[in-house]
Amino acid sequence: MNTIEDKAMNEVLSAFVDDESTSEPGLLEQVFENDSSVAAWQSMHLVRDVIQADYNGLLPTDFASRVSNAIALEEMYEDTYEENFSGQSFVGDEAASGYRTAEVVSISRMRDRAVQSTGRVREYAEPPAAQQATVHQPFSLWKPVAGLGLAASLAGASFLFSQLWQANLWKVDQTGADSAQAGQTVASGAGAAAQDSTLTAATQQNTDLLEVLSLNAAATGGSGNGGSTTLGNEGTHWRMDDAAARNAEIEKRLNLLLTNHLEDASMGRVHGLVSHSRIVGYDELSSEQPVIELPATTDQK
Amino acid sequence: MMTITRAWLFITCLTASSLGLADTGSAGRDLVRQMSMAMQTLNYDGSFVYAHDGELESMRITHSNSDGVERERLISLNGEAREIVRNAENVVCIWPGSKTVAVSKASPRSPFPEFEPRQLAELEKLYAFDHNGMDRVAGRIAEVVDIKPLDDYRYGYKLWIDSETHLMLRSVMSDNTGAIIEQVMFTQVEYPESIPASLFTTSTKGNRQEWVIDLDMEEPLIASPPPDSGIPGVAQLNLPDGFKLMSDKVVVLPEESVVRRIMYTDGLASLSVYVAEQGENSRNELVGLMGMGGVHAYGVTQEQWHVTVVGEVPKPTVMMTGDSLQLQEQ
Repeated sequence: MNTIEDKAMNEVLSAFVDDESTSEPGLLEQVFENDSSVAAWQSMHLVRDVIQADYNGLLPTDFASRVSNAIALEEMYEDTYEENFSGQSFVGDEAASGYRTAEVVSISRMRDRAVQSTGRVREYAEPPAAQQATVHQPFSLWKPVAGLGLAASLAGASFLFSQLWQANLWKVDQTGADSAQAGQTVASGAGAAAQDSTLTAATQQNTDLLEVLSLNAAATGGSGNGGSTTLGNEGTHWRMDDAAARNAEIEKRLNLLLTNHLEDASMGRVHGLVSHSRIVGYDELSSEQPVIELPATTDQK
Repeated sequence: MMTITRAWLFITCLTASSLGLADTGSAGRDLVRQMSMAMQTLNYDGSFVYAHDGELESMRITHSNSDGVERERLISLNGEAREIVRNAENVVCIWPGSKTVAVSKASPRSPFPEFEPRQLAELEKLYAFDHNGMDRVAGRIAEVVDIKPLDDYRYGYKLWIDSETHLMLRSVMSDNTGAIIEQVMFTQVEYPESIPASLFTTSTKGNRQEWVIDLDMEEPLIASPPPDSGIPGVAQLNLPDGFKLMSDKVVVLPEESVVRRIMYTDGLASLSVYVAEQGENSRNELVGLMGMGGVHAYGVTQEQWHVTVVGEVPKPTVMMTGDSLQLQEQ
């Protein structure tokens, strides 16, 4: 398109974005025929949403921090593989193979998180061509920019997908089941890569970190809300199976008994004071929570 | 001839395989023993996360050993500035929010596990030890040790042990199906040559309030021996295989009446049976089951006595113990 056509297209797009034109024949097909129209489409939506103060898109509020974390993880693994290249784990071709495979897993994991954040984009199960190309770049060339490039591609892709979602141009899943299926598709891809025998322990660390943060399935279990897959917000405290109301006096006494027990317990000698994490992490009964059978002198926050 | 050759080959492979397994098992046990020593003897300062029940807490631990004197401090980095300070004499727990300070007697630490041949043989009937390769935690290379329980009555552990210093960098507690119950993992750790003693003073600032504990004001923490306490001991109870009596003593818990504690252990897992006279308000005493991460507590009453079974063991273990318990007649 020339400048005049661009201007006309922008006017049409503007009207369409503002819901003033909904029946322009062939408009959407034209929009996505060239990059400038796509960029204009994105910008208009962003400006409109910000002005109308309803920018929620499909990006989570912590998306920026997740991208930052992704970059940090990339840097961490790059350092790891530098160590591995120095001879601790790999030699020769095996090192190169392990490096490449690990990057695939790392990207898959972050893509998994991106899918979780958007939650509805099935097609994103396959890695974008740009990311695949990045993976196979020689180490010395792509290392300095890999993290930023990946993060940028994630951000750009997620933003574009959010717009496509609004325009109903992209195939989307609107059911939780389908969203879960999309996540499983990605997860299985990562799992297949993880089975590669050249994977390093450091790659496993990536998985483990996500697991600690309960970002993948079956991360936690045990008493109370065992089997949950998301971080809770109840704090550390004693839990009953029947979810009965908490009793500050009972919990206080149990903490005293537990402190005494841990001091002499066998694993207390293995773990040292780390065993007392439950005590230090313990969140005392809040006044906002139901209180039963408490005397007037009960300790509360 | 062919048959004999094949048989010899089979025996050779079997022997080599068995030796290999034994090697990884003994290597795992050695690493755990070295880790236990390192946790007591090293100077270290680090941050770690503690995850359980879908909850995540961050904490900082500082530990020093100066001339054989251990000092430790554990501080919560989120929420209230709860903390525990431990020295050779006392364990002081401080909850600023409720202005609660609990002081209990510190027990002498000894290396663990104390693997005498007989004890080792018994432990191997209950757990499978395995040295499971290398990993990287908190930026440091770690040896991985698996300790798998062989029944439903105890938890297993997966330990990441610093290959250079032998400090525990990560610990995952799981049941015998492999489901994760709780875990701690260092995100950063340092090994300073020395740590100022001032870091272990028993004071904290939480909610803009400063707390200073005068340990000299504390009452004696050990009461009279069990026979003179008037609190009944255990006449009968069912324990999982391998659990044996470890100690029987009477303690005075902070703000508590005298409590008798009978502790049992299988060498790794431990549970304590606390017996105390019922209070005036029995509704404030646990009857039934409660849990926090990998710790479970089960309360029952017998006549005028209230019994609480506490341990880092699964639910069935504390319930079986509590339900089967018979106190001695007075």
